[in-house]
Amino acid sequence: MNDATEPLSPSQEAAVRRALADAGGPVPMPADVAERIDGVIAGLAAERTSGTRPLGGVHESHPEAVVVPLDPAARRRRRRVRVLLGAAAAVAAITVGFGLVADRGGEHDLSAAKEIAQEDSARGSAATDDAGAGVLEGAPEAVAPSAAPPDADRLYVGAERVPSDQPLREVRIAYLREDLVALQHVSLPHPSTADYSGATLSAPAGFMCDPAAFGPGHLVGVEYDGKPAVVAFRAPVGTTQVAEVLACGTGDVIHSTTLAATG
Amino acid sequence: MVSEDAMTDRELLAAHVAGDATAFGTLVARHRDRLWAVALRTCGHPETAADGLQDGLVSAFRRAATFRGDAAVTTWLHRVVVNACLDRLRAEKVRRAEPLPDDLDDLHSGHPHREVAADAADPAEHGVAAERRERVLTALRTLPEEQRAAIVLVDMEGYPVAEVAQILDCAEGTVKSRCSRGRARLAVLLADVLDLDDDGADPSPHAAGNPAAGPDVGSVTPRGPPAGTAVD
Repeated sequence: MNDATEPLSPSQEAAVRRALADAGGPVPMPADVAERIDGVIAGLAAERTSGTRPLGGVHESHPEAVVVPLDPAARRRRRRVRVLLGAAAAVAAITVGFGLVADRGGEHDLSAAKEIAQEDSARGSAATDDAGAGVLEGAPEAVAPSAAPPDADRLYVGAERVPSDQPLREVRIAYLREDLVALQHVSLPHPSTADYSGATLSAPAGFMCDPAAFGPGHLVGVEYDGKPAVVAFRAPVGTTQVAEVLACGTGDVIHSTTLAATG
Repeated sequence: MVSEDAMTDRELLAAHVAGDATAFGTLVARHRDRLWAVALRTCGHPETAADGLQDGLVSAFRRAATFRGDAAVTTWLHRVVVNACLDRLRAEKVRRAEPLPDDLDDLHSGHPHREVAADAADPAEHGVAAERRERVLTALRTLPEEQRAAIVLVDMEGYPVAEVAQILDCAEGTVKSRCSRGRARLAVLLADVLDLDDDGADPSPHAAGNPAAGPDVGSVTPRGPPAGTAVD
């Protein structure tokens, strides 16, 4: 489309704006959309009630970004356990290998911190870990955005590992929905036999991913933006199913989208 | 115990963060028509709007605790939903490798927007106001998505430019520029239905006493929806 346009006269501009204002205002949401939205929210609430999913984790203005704790002390405390996922298929006696990993997420943390710092600078406010919860009046028990649940490792390690003989699939941001749909059809069990009450992780041998609380559902190891990540397919709600791309090590939601349930 | 209906938006969001299982649903229900309107007009197609709205609300549910409270809850919700819609549109654009307006033309079976914008609907079947409204919405769909989002929020939803800049995560000047370019395009498409005042009166409710020179690119209506819905 040609972007070259002549400037409008004040009367023309006012007329356009009047026409737009007249055409604005709320539009009743169609019943099918309302039903779908209600179902998804109910499913999210039920999922949260199960106590396996923390609130927060993605920055307010950058849903695509992974948010990590910025406090260096917190980072130092947060010595993470690396799990060697591929060991399950190769070594029967050692299904999951553990190894202490020094904080090697510095580069990632700096990147996230830079994004957040830039935004906070623009707003004239300082970044604090508990900023989101702190300003919510009447929310004394508000959850800090990136607070990892104390049993994160247990939840992660508790996932039943299902070695996959398929190559590691890539989830591309530009084809997010398509890639997730393809993954959904390739990776999920038949709906009649699917059990979403626990956590099942499917990934090829050699797939490595720092632990986190990924929550219940069918988890699939993938490559996202050149890095390992986990796609979590949540329990279907009605005819839809939420699929989330989760960051290794934090479990933060990088992307969340809703797909038609298989079957 | 305070009824959720009597709670402000901020209280509902706080209750949701604190673990209330129904507060978020109440909050969404309170603003659903307005959010739907923004999603629909930003996306230009009901199916994409439904997907974008759902993506946005899932994100909002999960990251409610990151709400800083330096803007209205409705602004924050709009921000999440609009960005989800724009993500959808960008992904579609990349996937189809063609300009968005062509996408939308294809999706609106047999009703190319440029033709509709040029050929008035049958005035015998619709009132003048309804016809003009439809023409405006049709023309709006031909704009690039970022211009459209700015126009929807500023001129149709009545948000101040500064707030729209927050919602779209860009500078106020960028919002003004997008609005200005979008309006110029709409003026061409809607030339035959625009009601031009001879005195060039500024439609802004805040225009009284303002100098006549220089078009105001700010909001036509006060903050909030033109028809007025419950906000916090």
